[in-house]
Amino acid sequence: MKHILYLSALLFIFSCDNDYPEFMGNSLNDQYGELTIVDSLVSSSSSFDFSQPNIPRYFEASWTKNLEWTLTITGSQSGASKSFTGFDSKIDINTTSWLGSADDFPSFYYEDCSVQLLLVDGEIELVQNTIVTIDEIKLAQEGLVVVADFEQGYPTNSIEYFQPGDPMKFEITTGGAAQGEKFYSMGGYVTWDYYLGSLKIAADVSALESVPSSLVYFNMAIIGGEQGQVPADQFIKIVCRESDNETYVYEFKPINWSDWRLLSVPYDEFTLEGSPGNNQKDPSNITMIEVLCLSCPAGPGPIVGGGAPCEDNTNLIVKTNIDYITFTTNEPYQP
Amino acid sequence: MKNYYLTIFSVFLTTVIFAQERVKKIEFYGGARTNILFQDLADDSDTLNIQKANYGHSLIDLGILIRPSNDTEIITELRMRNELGGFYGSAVTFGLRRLTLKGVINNAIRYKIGDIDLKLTPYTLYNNDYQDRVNEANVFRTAREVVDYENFFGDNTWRRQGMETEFALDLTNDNFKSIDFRLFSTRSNPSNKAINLPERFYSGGSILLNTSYGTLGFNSANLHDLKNTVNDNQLYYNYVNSVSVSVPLTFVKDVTFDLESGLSSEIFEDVILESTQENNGYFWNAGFKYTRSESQLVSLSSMYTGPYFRSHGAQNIRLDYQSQSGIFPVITNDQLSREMGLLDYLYNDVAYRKTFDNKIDVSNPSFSSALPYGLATPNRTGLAISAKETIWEDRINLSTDVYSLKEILGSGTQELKSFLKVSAMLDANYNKWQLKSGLSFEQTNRDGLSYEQIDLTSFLVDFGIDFKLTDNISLMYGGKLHMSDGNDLTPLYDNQNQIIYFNNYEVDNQSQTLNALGINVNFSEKSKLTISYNSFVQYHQTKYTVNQFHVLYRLNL
Repeated sequence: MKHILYLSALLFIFSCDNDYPEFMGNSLNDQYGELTIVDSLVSSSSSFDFSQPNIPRYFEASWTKNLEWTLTITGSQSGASKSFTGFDSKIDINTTSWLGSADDFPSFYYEDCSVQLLLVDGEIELVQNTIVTIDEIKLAQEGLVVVADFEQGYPTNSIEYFQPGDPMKFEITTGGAAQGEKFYSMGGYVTWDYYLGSLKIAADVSALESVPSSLVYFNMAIIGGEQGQVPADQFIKIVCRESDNETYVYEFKPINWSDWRLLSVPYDEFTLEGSPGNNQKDPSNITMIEVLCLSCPAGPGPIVGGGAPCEDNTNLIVKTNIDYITFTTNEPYQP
Repeated sequence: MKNYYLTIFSVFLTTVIFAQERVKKIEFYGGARTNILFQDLADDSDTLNIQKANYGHSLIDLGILIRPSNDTEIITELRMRNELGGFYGSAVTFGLRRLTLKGVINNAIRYKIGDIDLKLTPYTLYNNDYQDRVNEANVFRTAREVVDYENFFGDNTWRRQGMETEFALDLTNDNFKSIDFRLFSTRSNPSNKAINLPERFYSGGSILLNTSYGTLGFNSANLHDLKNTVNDNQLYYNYVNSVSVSVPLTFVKDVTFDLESGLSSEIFEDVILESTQENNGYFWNAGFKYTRSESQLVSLSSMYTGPYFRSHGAQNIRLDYQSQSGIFPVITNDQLSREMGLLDYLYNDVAYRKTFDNKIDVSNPSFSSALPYGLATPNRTGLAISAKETIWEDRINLSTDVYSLKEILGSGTQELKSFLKVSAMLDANYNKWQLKSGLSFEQTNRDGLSYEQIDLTSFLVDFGIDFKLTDNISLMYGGKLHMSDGNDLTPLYDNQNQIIYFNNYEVDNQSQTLNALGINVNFSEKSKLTISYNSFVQYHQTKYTVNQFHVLYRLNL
């Protein structure tokens, strides 16, 4: 019996495996260690050709402790921006692989880009900079259907209408576009009607045949204006008419930002307006897309369609400029 | 062929209560106490803050012992308390301190229901001792007894509410003598539907096999939530099980081999996300104890407590070091927050933990860095040596404990902390003189890069001397000294007991002294009065002094 007791004791002592990490808790080096750069920021090459996506484009750097880092790429001409963030003591191909897209509109162009790596350690900030040149912009997204980019002016068979307000601006504008160089301005001042104007565009979306509506995305770049200079409640209505005369609509409301933004919505989220046809969304059967510019009128006087005027919008010029209208498959457009 | 008789019998001596004689149906017991303090913050330059505090209370605890039958007892303790300055009953409070039903079934199974005191082993269920004393003087023990009584601290037990049962099997075998069983289940938290806090229980027990070769025991202590008592969000479980062995060696006289080893499992269950996080750990403590006589003992043991060993019933600190007394909370014209010290721990309204939960208590490295959570402190391995001896006709008792430990897993680094903890105690009495003294020293070190290095030293001294003027009157002097210097990096835990940060802890020659001169008068065996004058000085960041006059009268009914 005593031997059993002795053996049991020894077995218990030596039976347990140790599978411990290096240490308990977070590293003291991350908390209290000194932050210094080990390897300076470099790019995989000085010029980036995004027309060949199989060749990786990335950045590398390393430093002495794990912390929050941010890598920001800014186009010198377009103003496009792409950011990578993480928590580590280095960056490499795994964390900074870039395919040429931007976080939002505007998109990158053929231009020099400044690259900045920001390391924040409490009150200490370290910044590293480098420059890369975009020789070739990224290829068009697979399944991309461009409805209008305004680079060649008005799309073929498009119809423009706007109210006789004062001032009114419905025109192709050059410079400061979300994509390329040109965009379509929509805006003005109308005191009696929500409707300021619209642009109808004949669309050929037949390339989306056999793609279910749940996988089709409508994409458009939109820019409003600075708060206080434009009405706070201005908005855009998108109308998609299919070949069976069914009309599906979606409203982007309100448009209250002053930089280009991508608005992307699955076609499934458009709602039927008016009489149904086959009561089924068929994106490949879209024949016409109309973009309406709308805002609550300031008055005075009667309002078309009834309702009260919005006196707060007095003398505030509506601005809901648009660019790069597209359809994509499986995912939103990547600017 | 041996015949084995399986009989049931009672295990405790108090079964004399149920002897054939007639016993009283109702008995009264209890005590009364008056505790008054006059405190003076001695700082003439402080013109903004309150300098004096006078407070105290009188109370009566009336115990009623009811015996409905020879096998059953009902114990209830009622309290009436009046705060000092509460005239005409305005500050009187009434309360129920204890309600326990206990008895014996068929002279074999003992049970208790209600308020019960529980203890197993230092690794499973154990209320660790105070960290601010090492054999303190009698003049301080009177105040300490008040703290013990108010917080139900008695012999390292936890006061719980639940039920307990004990019974034994007599094996009537030459080698296997008996098996003792002890089982309990207590309510740890009531459910709270408003914050989705589930009902929580603490259950466990022990089984002890007594043999002619030694003893073999199994201990279990488990903290667990009950499902479906609220809309469950998160549930918690902590299972601790250990085996203990005590075997007298046959080849070496008077030497016993002792071993306890066990496993723990801590589970956080997220009901909504359907995920669990589990931390498993283990420990062992093995050693030899040489007991030459009742007055001589030497032990040597080796210990290992894994980094992820969790046993909340044993890993606890009595004092909540983050609590603040309401007495002189702010000092100096700079409105500095007064740092608590030895005076507050003994006399003022700092918070002591009467129960435990599933969180790791915040420790104070200045008082304990080696074993802040007792023997069950996780992430420790090393050796321990203890020695006790009584000499000179039992007039002098000496004891010492030495721990040489190190971490198993580094804290935030691969470098390991090392710990040295030495304590020594001396009790002596001669004629009318009685001497008590104790010393505790701790040293914590770690090498490495500049921000990893640790060097912390702490020192605690207790000294007391009593002189009997007469059989009933004693003069008492007591002194306490605590010093600390150096730095440490203390862990901050999240809700799942994972380290998320290390706080930089620094002390620069911090010291505090508490001196007391008093007189104790025994009016009778049941009636005592202690009057003492105390002076407390703290040196840390700023120096302050508190002088105190203390009156404590105790009467046992």
